[in-house]
Order: sequence, then structure tokens, then C-alpha cells
Amino acid sequence: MAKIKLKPKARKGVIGIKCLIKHPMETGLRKKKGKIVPANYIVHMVVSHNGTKVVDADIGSSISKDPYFKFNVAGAKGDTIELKYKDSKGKTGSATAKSK
Amino acid sequence: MKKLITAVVSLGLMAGATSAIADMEADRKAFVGHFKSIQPGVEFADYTNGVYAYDAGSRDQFEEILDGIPPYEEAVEKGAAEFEKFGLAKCAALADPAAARLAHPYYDDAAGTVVTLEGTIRKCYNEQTGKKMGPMKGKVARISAWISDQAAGEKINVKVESDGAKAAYARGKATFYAKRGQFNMSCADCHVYNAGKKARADILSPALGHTTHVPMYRAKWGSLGTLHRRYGGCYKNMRAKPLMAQSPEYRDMEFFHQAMSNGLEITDARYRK
Repeated sequence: MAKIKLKPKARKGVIGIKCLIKHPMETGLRKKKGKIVPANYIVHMVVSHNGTKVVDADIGSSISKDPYFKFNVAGAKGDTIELKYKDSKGKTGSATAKSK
Repeated sequence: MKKLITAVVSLGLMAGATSAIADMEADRKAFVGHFKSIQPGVEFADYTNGVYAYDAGSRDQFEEILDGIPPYEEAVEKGAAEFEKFGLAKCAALADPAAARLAHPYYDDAAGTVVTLEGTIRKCYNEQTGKKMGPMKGKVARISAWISDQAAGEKINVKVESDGAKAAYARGKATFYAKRGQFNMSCADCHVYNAGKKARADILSPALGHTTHVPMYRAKWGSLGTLHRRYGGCYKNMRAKPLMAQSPEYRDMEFFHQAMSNGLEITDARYRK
């Protein structure tokens, strides 16, 4: 189970969402001791603000290991931010946090 | 063998020098006064942030990094898990992590040496698991960082009381002010006399407050490292051969170095460039 760090912080009507997903993000092209390391990367990520979708991203293998994202969303302190992702192996992960 | 002789000779010389009374409190006042004179606008308490107290631009970057997900956060959490896993809390010296950070470094009169936090962690690790732990990075830095986090907000308070402690303090002071390497520079040349000025593109950090955030995360290293790892890097930059981390010389220097930062808050903002 990959870990997600999600830190939304409200400032002057804007929530700055910073998130870091612990994920190996293997492209499937890299070799280790002559054998190809199987592909394992995040393909889809959704961020919702109080239940409304605000970010819908198709992420590919070109994103680095342990990807770090930052978004700005209009909102206030106490709003709920939820992040969900799905990787190429079909595994999903999610995290929710209240905006500070 | 040659190294041993040099060590013995230098120890002998330093023992001679320590007969003069080492007055830590007076030294510290002069030290703080010096920084006040070169940078009058910087408050004493702000030296906790080291070089970021001097330059607004770097400070903005520093705060931006801390505001989000600091790069060392993961490592410190791992340190907490390792502290549990290795049963380090069973050692009396580490039973209360916050107190342990404040108590170190201290002079052990019975053993006649300075004991550092990393030294205690390594000793305890050896007692609990029977294995040895490296002195500069990895486990020792992570665990030490977590322990130091527990004491965040407390003030550094190194005590130099007994005669042995005073001698160790004087030796550390001598090391700090001694010229070395092909560049023939001492620690103080950069970090005391020229603190706040630039060495190429980098601002020289003030020695006051160097020890508030150790072990530190350096962008250059990409990981956490102990104070002694940084000492080694500093020696190398001066084209001198670094001493072993946790060697008696470095421990004495840490004793002096931390004592100079007495009264500054310990911080968990471990990021440094």
C-alpha cells in the first residue's frame, strides 16, 4: 500500500494542495540484472474538493518516482480534500484531509 | 603509527594550553556579541534558522520547502519506527528522547570523554542488537533526528562545569580556531569572522546556531546527515583530511560548538542547502 501525504492549506480564499504519493513509477523499460522491471505507474488521479471533482489527471510513465503535485483551488479552511489514484497494475489508493 | 604520534603530540600540546581557565560563559557572550556587531539587524533568537536569518531570498525558499512536505519528513518517521524496533528506549540514557537531546553533549567525568547524542545512540544500538551502527548517515541520522524533534522548541543548554569538561571545551575551541588544510583556514575564518559574506554563490552561515537543527537534511546530500558528517565535508572543502566521525577531536569540537549556541531553540526545520 502506497503512502500518500496530502497537505491542503487555505490562505485568502485559496487552498494550496500539496501532495506526495509514494510510488515506484516504473516505466517498464528499465532493466535490472538483464530482466525488465515490470511497469507500475500511476495512470489516473482525481482530486475532489468537498465532493466535487477539481483535478482529473491522466498521468503516464514519464512522471518521476514518488510524484509531488501542487494545485490551487478556491475554498476555505475546513474544506475536505480527497485524492484518489489508480496505477497500471489496477491498484488504487486514496487519502482525505481537512484543509488547514 | 605516524597518525598516533601526531595525535599524542597534539594532545600533549592542548593539555598544556588548557591550564588557562576556560570560561565558557564569557566566551559565549563575546561570540554572540561578535555576531551582533557584524549583523546588527538580526535578532539572537533568529539564529536558530542559521544562514536563513541573513538572506531574505533564501529564507523564502526555505519556508516554501518547509511549508509543504519537507524532504526529510519520511526519514524522520522512519527514525521513529527504528527507535521502537531496536528497543532504544530500554537504554536509560534514551528513555526520554526530549531529555536525551537536551542532555547531550556532556562531559563524562568517569570515562574522561565528551559523550554525544549519536555516540549514545550507537552504543545503545550495539547493546540492544549486537550490531554496529555507522556514525554519519542512515540509521544514526534518522534516529537522532527523531529524538531531536521531540525536543523542538527547547533551548540548548550545554554545561561546562568540571575540570575535565573545561579541558575538553578548551580542546574543542582550539580545534575550531585552528588553521588547517591547503587553504590554511579555520572553521572560524568562514563561520565567525566572515559569516554572512559570500563564498562564490553561497552565503557563509554563522557558527552561532549551527547545532540547533542537527542532524540536518542537505539538498547537496539528498539525505539526512549528522553534524560530524558536515564537519568532514567542511574539512574536505579546506583541502584537509577529514577526521573520523565521532573521533575525540570532533566530539570535543561539538561540545564547544553546541555550548556556543546555548540559549537558542532546538528546531525541527532540518533543511539546509
